Amino acid sequence: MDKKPDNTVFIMSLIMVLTVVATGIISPEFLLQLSKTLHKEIIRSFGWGYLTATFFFLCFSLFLAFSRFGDIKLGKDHEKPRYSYFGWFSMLFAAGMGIGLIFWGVAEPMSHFLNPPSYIANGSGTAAEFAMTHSFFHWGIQPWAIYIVMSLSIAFFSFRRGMPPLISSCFYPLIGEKIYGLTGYIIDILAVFATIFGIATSLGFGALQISSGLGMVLDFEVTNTVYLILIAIITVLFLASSLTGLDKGIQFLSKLNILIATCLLLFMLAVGPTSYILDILTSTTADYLSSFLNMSLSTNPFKGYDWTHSWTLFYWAWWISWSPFVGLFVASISRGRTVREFVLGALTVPTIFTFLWFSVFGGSAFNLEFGKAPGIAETITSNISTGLFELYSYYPFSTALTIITIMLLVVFFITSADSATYVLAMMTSNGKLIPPTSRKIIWGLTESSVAAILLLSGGLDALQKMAIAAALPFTIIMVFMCRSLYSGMKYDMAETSDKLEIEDLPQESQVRNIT
Amino acid sequence: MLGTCILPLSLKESFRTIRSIASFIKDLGTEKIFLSHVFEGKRIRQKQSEKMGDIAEELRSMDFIVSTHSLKGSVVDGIMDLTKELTPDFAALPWHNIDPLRRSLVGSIDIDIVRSIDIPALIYKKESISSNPGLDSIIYATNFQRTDSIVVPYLSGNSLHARTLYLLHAGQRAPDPEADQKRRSLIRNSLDRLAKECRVNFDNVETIETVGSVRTEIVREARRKKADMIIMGKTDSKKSIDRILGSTAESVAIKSHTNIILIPATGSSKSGSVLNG
Repeated sequence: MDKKPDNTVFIMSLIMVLTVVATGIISPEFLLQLSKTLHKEIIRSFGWGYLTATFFFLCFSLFLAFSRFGDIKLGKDHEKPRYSYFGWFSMLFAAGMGIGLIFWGVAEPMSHFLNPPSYIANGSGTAAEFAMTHSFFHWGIQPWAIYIVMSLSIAFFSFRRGMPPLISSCFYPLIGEKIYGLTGYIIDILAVFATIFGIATSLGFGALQISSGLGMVLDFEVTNTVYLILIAIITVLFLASSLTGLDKGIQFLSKLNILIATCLLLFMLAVGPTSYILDILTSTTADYLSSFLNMSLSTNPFKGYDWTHSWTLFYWAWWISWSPFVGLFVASISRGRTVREFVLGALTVPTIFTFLWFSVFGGSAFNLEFGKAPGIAETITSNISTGLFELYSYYPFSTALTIITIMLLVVFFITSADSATYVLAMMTSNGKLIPPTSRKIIWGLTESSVAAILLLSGGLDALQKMAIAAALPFTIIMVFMCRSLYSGMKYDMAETSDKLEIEDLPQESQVRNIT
Repeated sequence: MLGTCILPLSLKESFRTIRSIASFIKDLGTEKIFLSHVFEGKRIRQKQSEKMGDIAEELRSMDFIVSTHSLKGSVVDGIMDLTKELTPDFAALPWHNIDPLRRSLVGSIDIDIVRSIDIPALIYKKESISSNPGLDSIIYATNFQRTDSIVVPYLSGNSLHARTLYLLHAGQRAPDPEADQKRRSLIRNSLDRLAKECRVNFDNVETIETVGSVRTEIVREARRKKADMIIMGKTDSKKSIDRILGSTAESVAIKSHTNIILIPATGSSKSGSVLNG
């Protein structure tokens, strides 16, 4: 760690980010065109790679959980988990999905329902089944498998083996001291690049949704000034949370959010068509399980090719581009857990919650679409950011529900930005677990500025596509990461079980006897 | 220790190759050769018998005690039967280079023999035919495990002589710099200890410690050091991956341009692999 100049990753990342943002301001059309071309070519040429890599990450995670490696602790042997299960799951969920799930919880099933692949009639029962199954699939265990590979590697090499918590540290078994050189810098800078653009995009779209919700409730016109005020308020809030540290800020907010989200979920389940929702949950779970392999590995070259590109491959690239950020954050909150506990916990609990969320919100919308409010799917799809609020308008206490959801969004917004700020500061200060406050402030302000500027200049879409383009090198990096993690864990197991080859070295007397 | 040798021939080898092998194994201290050939056809042909006789005469002229043995049937089974019957100290196998496509489609008798043989086997590569008498250098790839107990006697006894012995350890890097430092220090100590034991028989003993795949590093270091011979221990492998991809011994035999002597760790072995990291 001492060998690495302190500010190389920080300065290089900042220059790169500012360059892209400047391009987005000066010529948003050029940036959009460039990112569109990059994104299109990458998805078209390497789509199969995303599918197979993601499926491989899932198999690899399960292999680690169920093999002897599952007993390895992500920390020293005597260490205990720092956060309770509830605190851990809350933060896991808030960092990994949170804001996106609120945004897409109703909108995604409705969008698939109205715009399924060409071989399915839109608006049909088959389209509804397809919509629910694929919503489960896109937000199910695969995204978590991607996060697991990243966070497990960071946690193992950092907390178990004493390396700095950086993505480059995970490659020590493969490239040795080169992690302190150009190769290491490139990996870390790429991670910063993906994180800042991923989070700025999410914040930008989140600001849109919050503003739309507030506009509906308080009946005002949403203008650029509203966006800017909103982003400024949230920036102050998440910086305040970030400066109080992980223990207090993010943990408290994440727990609060999960509680609010669970209450909202239970309310909708109770007030809405309960048995219809449970029917959908049961039936979609069955569909998901039975078509899991097919969905996981099918690029659909003969039918629905474009649909798979626009949705599944887009999502996989998106999750991968988010993985450096979520991976580093999840690693930092998972210290003291065993590999098995970590993998099984991260794969099951958030997935079950996500399935429930989609069943409740998607199911409620389907109930209206097929019952008393035909056309709601069309309304939701035409303005995705207000989709959830449209649904509430058919329920009692719709204003209260909208306000609660806006609160939920704001808090998820804060927790995401807070954890991203923490991760960015950590990555650019050579993996310091308590990064300097100044760096947190710089990155916090950068995230918000990037989101605000590109929201106004119309460059958010381009930024999202740039983040997804960064997923391609990261997919390759993650495949090597699996190899490196396997080597490291194998060594670790051998070391602890006294089977390491170098510990079996013949003693002098043995060699003498042999000769 | 390497006094008697079984030399299986396909009879396609040139006299130059035979003389070269003979002079090589003479340097190893071999005095008696069981010259063998397995006929795959229904009857032994006159021409082939005559060639066996000529080769035997050539070897006798080089002061070897030679006996000839001809069998019919499968080459690999025939050689295995002969090694059981004649109990030679080792087998000298003239290596026949086969292109990878042909090797994967029709297989290689040489590889089948390497896989099946349970006595030390010298894999003689034509490329390393040298006009210099004696061996300049031998490279031994060790992992400080069971194979040392069967290879070290050859290195410290009177069987193998060379001016330089390279002791090589190739393995994977540890997961962090501190552990790697410790690993390397242990390896260096063990290599030094092994070097001390072997120094009696060699003018110069050098140690090499590398990081990487064993099968690649052995071949690379042998080429880099221009070694005359690689010595490797061979033991049973339970690893599925070795069964699918072939053992380290097979891989090194295919890739290396250096002569190799494989010493099996177990009495009888059907699928061998070098325990080496």
